[in-house]
Amino acid sequence: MANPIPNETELYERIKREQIHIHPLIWDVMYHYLGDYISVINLIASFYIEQNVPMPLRDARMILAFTHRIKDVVDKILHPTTILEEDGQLDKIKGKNISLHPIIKEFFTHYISNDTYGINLCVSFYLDPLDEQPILVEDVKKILEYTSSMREFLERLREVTSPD
Amino acid sequence: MMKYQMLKVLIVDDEEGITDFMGKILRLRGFSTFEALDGISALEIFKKERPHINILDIRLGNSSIDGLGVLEQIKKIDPSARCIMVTRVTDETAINKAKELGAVHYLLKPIDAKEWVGVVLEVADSILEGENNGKSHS
Repeated sequence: MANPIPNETELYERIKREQIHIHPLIWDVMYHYLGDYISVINLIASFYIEQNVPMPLRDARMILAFTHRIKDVVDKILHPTTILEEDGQLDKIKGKNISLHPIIKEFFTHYISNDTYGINLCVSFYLDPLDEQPILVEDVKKILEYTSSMREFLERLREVTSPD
Repeated sequence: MMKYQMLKVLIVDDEEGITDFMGKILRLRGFSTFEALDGISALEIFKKERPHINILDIRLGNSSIDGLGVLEQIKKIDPSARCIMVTRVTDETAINKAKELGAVHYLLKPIDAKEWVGVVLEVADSILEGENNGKSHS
C-alpha cells in the first residue's frame, strides 16, 4: 500500500549484489513481534469485511494499540540503543553490534512505518473524540491492504537478503 | 456453512487478539471453537472436548509447554487428530519437527486470514469426506 521507493528495484538489486544480510536474531525478533501484531490486525479487519459491517470502536482501539506496538518495535530495531531490559525478546539484539544496513533501514522506515502510519491515521480519524464512529467497511478494506503490503514487504526483503 | 457445525476447532496462541478473532471468523462458518492462551490449558481443553482440528502456535510465550509439546501430547492421546501449526519463517527446525510429529499443515506469521481460513476449510472438508466414507473421527 505504501508507494514504492522511486529507486526500489535498484536498491533490491544492490542488496542482492552486495549480499547485504539481516542478522538471524533481528529476523527472529521481528517475526516474533510484527508477526503477531500484523496477524491480529489482519484477522480483525477480515472479520468485519466478511460480515460487511462497520468495525466497532472497541476493536478500532485495539488496532490503534497494535499500530503503536509495531511502531515501538520498529523504532527499537532501528535504534537498538533505546532497547530496555524489560523489552523482552528485543533485549536479545541490544549490544550485539548487529545493526541494520542503511538501505534496510530505509526500506523499513518506508514500508513498515508508512503502512503502520496509514492504518493509524485511518483508525484515528474514526476515533476522533469530536466525532467517534465505527469504521466503515471501505476503510476496513484499506486497513487489510496495509497488512498485506507489510506481509509482502517482509517476504520480499527476506528473499533478497537470504544467503544463496 | 452449516456443514461445518459438527466440527470443533481448538485455537492456541499466546496473543489473545489472534485466538479471539480466529474463533469469531470460524464461528461465522459454523464451527464450534475453543481458545487457549497456553499449552496446559490447550491440553485440558483437548482432553475434554476432543476437537477435530487443532490450530497451534509453536511459540507460546511463557507457557511451560510450547506448541510442539502440545502437538506431541495430542498425537499421543489421539494419533488421528489434525493439527495445523502456526509459526514464523525463522522457525525452520520447529517446522521440520512439527512435520515429523504429524502436523497436517503449517502456516507462517504474519497470517493472512484468507489463506488461513482456506487451510482450515481444506482440513475440515477432508474430515467430512472421511466421515462420509465411513471413517469416523476417533
